[in-house]
Amino acid sequence: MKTGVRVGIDFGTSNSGVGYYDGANVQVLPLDHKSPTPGIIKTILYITREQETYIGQEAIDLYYRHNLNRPRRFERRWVGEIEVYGGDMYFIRDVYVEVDVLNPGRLLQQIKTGLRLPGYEGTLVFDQYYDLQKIISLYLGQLKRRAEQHLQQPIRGVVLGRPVKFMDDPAQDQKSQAILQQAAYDAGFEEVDFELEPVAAARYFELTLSKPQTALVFDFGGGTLDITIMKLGDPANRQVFAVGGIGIAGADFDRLMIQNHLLEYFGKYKVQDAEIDRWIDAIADWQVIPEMATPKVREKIQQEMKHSPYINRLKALEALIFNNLAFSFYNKVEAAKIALSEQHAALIQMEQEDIHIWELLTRLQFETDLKRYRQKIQDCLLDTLNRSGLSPLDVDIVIKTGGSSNIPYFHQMLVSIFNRAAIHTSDVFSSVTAGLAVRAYDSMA
Amino acid sequence: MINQAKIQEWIRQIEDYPLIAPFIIRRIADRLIELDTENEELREENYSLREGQKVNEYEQKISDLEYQIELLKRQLKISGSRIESEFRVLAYQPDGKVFSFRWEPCEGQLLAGMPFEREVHFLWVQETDELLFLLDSGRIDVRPVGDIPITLGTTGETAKVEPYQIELRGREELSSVMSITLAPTLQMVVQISRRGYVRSISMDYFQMFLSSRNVGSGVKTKSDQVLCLVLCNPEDVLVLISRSGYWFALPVQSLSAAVLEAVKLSLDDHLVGVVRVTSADKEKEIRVVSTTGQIAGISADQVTLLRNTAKRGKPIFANATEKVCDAGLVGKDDRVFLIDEKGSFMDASIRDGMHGDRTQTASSALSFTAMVVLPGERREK
Repeated sequence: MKTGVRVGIDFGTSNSGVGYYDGANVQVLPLDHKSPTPGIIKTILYITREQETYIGQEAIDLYYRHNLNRPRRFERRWVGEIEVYGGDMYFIRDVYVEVDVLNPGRLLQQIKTGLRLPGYEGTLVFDQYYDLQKIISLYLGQLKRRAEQHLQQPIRGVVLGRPVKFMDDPAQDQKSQAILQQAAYDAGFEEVDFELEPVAAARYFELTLSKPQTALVFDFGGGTLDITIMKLGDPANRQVFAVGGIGIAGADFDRLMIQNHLLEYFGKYKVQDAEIDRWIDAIADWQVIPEMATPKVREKIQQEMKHSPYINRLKALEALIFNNLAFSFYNKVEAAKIALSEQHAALIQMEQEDIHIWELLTRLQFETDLKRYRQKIQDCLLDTLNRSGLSPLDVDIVIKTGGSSNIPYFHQMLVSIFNRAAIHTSDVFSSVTAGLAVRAYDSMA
Repeated sequence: MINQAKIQEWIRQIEDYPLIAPFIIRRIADRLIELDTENEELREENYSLREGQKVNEYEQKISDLEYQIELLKRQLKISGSRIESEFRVLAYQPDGKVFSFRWEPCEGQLLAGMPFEREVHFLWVQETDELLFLLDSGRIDVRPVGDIPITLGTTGETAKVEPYQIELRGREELSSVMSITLAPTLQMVVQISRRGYVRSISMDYFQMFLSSRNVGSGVKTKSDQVLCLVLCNPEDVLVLISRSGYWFALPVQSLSAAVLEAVKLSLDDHLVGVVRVTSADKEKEIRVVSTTGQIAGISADQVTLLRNTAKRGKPIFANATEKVCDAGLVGKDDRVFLIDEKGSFMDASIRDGMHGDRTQTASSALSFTAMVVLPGERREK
């Protein structure tokens, strides 16, 4: 007889969670005790030089402890050869990179995004290559260990959530799911099943229904928007009418806020040098920042400072890149974005090293920024509805889940389309996890 | 960034949703307070720049630095105007008496007026030097050489004035005297006790100790006592000489800031001398003299090649009963004088050096108390 239980794991772009259902109660397991919300674990993996791995808040704390104001020492390392063809000429050149040999660890965030990028295969962490499958398995393995510790029993199987579409190309989509599946096996799960994330959220919501209803699940998280239209309330006759999705979500909105309101603090529109201007633009993509911390970049910025009238902004750029303040910066941006869902204004203030940011953002400004995405999201929503053969009037209930679904601008959009339906806000961070837990229990039974 | 467009955005938001007005006003008010405080500070700074206060402050700093540079130039003899600084010898004793005299030594001279029956140490200094007096309590006193009057004549002259007396408190004794003129050019200070306990102090910390006039005793047992401080750099090696005739090489880099036992001495032994060896001293040798006049040489080159030999000392003399009275670093042009218990000088210079740890005997019926090394470069002046 097989031993161990089955759990549901919502492996999200920004946050993850583990759920367990015993047939009576659903528990979202409090696995991140260092976090103020222990049931929500940041999808962050920190790998030290000694190849030790940490996840969630512990990873963030260690990253800060290791990195803030640490010394750097760059050494030139050979990384390979490049073949150069030109006319009748052919030669091979050695390629070197500047490596920070004092770097104590590497922080990997938004790991799941790798499953949506066709060309992404993995990354080098110090001298060891980590493919995407290994990175994900390390994270899932830590989740499994923590969950087993909490439940005091082994975990045999898992139902993993997956977006409606990792990628538009079905072959690529299958490949991404296969990577996630193999990563779960590598992490020690014996049985691995999948469930669409919005379907999982719907199943959790179904526990509260007393009669069958047509529901539209609007699962809008950190990495993707997933839409499912299905019949709920009668477990024997569940029916999915259509699924749809688009690769726009919370991380894109963070990027937008930085691009539209914060790049000026680092010299945008003021610094004339084209190369530095490109680096300023790159700030919006936080994973690029650690790679930018090379002596060449520092020398160039310092050179520019000698004749630029905007020394303070260049100093801020230097501080952001070289004092490992990028993570702190992005957290403040994300916090402001979340605050703008609850209030009509939010302040981004950062006074660290040479960075002096004070930016009072209003919801109207934010919504102006979001306009460019609204049409695409609305189109995706109507397209899915169209494919289901239903009209907005046929939808009884709209279930919102995922952090970005709380943004009032998109709530208004839903109200304007489904003005007859009840808009229900599910537990935005845990409903998928809970639904997966229910699904894990059902499949075991 | 605050600009007109942003302000318009705030107003639009308040018009659209008036309840947010208190939040926005509070944030703007807080910002105004911050900016006002910053503005106040900038204005203060601006005034002090305009009024010349900053100029005065920086002029004072420059003048302090110029003074220090001048002292260093004198010490290093790189002054463009060739300041001819006088040399003198200090002789000091544990009871805090400091004798000071100008000296052109020669064989047979007699240093009159000093009580040689007591332990005595000699130190070559320049008139421009700053001196540090280290008491066994850990207290220190700093004063320029010029503060100490010439107290002794030579060649049979009687003492002209009373010796200079360092103020002692309670049962304090004077442990050592050193020049600290070169301290700003060096990175470390090492404190050494008679029983072989050692700690290193970074120059920044040492400056702190200097201003508080106390460096601490640096000992761990009651029977122990501080021996001396040595100014040095991390790459130097210290050679410690024990009374019973053992030497120990101690790389400065290996020392910790904690007081630790760095050498193992027998119960009846203690350290009597410390010699700093730098990479520039490879041609020199450490000259060690016993109370009976036995002289031994240890090649500095050999010392720098050795790694930590501290735990197990190496014997200096073949005869284990010899007791060391003094030691010093000697170059090939330096002259070495031994001083016996009557205050009489004996020229113990050895022109070709003593490489190879050889020993030889200085003939005297009396017991020797100290050794003075007269730098060759000084004589060339």
